[in-house]
Amino acid sequence: MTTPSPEAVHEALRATVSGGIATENSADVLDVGSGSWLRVIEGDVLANLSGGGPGAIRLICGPHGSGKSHLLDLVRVRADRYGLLTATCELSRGHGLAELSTVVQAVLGALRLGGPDGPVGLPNVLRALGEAGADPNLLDSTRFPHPSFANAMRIALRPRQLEPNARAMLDRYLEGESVSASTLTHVGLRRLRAPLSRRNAASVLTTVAQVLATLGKGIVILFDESEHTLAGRTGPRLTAEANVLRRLVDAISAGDLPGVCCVFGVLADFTDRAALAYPALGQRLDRPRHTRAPLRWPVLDVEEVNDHTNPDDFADAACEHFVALARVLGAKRLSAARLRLRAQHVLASQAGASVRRDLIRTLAAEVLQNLEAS
Amino acid sequence: MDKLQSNPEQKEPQAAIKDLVRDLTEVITALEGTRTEPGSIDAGAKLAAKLLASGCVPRLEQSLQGIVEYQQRRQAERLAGLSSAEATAVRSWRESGEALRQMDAGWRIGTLELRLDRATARASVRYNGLTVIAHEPVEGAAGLEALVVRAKALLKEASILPPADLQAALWDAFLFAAQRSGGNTQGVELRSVLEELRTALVRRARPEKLKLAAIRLQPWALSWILDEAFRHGPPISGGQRLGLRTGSQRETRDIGVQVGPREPGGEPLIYCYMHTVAAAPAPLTLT
Repeated sequence: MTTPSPEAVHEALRATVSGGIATENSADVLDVGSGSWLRVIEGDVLANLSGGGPGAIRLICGPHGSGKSHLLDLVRVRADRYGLLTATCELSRGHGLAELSTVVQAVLGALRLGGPDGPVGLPNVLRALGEAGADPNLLDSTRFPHPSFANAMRIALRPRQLEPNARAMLDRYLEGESVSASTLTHVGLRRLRAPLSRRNAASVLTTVAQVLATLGKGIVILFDESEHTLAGRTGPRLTAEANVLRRLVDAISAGDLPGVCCVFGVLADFTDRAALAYPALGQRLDRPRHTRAPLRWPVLDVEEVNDHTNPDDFADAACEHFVALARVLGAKRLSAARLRLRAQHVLASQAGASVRRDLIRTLAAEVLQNLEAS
Repeated sequence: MDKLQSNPEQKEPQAAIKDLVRDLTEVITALEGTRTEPGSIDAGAKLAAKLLASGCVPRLEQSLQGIVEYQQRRQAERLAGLSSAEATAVRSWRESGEALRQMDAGWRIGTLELRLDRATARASVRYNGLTVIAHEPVEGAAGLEALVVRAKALLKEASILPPADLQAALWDAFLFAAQRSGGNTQGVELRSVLEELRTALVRRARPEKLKLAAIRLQPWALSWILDEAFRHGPPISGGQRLGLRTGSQRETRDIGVQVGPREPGGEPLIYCYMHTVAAAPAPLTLT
């Protein structure tokens, strides 16, 4: 990684101290020890997604405050560098996996191209791709699972030919809203039927993936679990959530979703909940426990993703990293030993991977304080 | 558990309460009378006036308030010290080589699950989702470690028979359950087998352990015994071995039984049926 600018470091430290979580822009500046895993993800997954390469699924499991969202930010930044589309979806009680159509709609609305300042939402992304020279004729030779949706995506690549009314309706259709065929016909959009629904959600997702793959674009979907999903032992919601996840895993494994990578940042006992909810899903998310899993393994604990699995080693590496950041800011008197004292205090007061957020925040505050004092 | 009696700070209020209870009992006896002596309002009123004059009622209020405040203070201390107690205990488990995995509400330590209720600073221990030790206040790192040690000891105690006898008892239970469900040995509900396992174990247990068997065979103990029986290889009898089978998603939901993970710290498994399959021939050995 290249040395960040003092402004970037200052902004990252300030954001961390005030918010507790590194912002997307500052994720790389503050990262400690995720490099090896990120290189594997880049080499094995991201580099191959464009042009309909094989899809992939990754689960990072860890408790609150262990750095799952931070890892998702790091993946998103790298996906942006590879020119991939990204979509970030929250997983919570309110926004669970129970209904695939809801998940697909969330993805369509969250699709983003080219970083935080790029276009957001499938219609805007398609327009941007069209303006950048994407050729709709490439789609002619393929029959997609949802021909109407593929046709809508083709039209969106050339939006200038549309009246404002038609454009608005097309946007709603592409964002997964329920727009009737007659309404679409009324504004001049023919042969667009069957908007996203519970029945066709899988075929819409497959179509979107295949069309974008044909246009040379892969998708990275990031699911960030903030509240328990797959909770409890019984109930139709649990059954539905487990089914959707199994279908997603199978679709990616079977190659039905080319160029799609799903990265889940899930709470610590997600795989346990999955195993209890649906043994078939549990088997798919199974992993060895007697030894540290290789970085290529699709399901990893957040500690295993890091080069420093031991909390003490992680704290030491974090202290060294923050001393280096302090040097960038010109605070030359801050020593690693002083930071280690602060780190030891944090380590003694908390257990497990959840300590990381507090540790990073404490070290960031110490650097800023030292900077102000000097 | 926080022992109030053993705390010197609490001895005085407890004595004051005991004294008052004794005095109040005298007042009630005087008013109601006994089998031989009739009650007397005069005697009762005299004792009541003496009680009021002694100032014991305000003292009682003070004593009760003291007990409540003591509990609140202890609870606040426990809450404040929970995180560091957890950190110390985890460090100790890690150093002793336990298979350790952080969960959302605690830790998986080998096959046990330590659950921490952070809002009340209490901890419980589960095995296969079944409570072995119910919620108890956490008394520092030592208390947490002791809780796990106690749970392990309970599990060890639950193995009332040697492994070979446990396997034989499991066979008995399986055959009883199969008989009840019509004699089909190709898919007997696992929960029925567990119901029969209690009886089968008591039958197989030596006479002097009968009492122990009757007391210890709680749901978690049966679950442990089932795992223990399989831990030493699948139970084999007459060329057949016992196996476990999952069911459909609906069956899992309705009749699924959680069994121990394949390896310590691993994900739990859920099975619906027990069945028999032909046992593999013994491996060839070179002589």
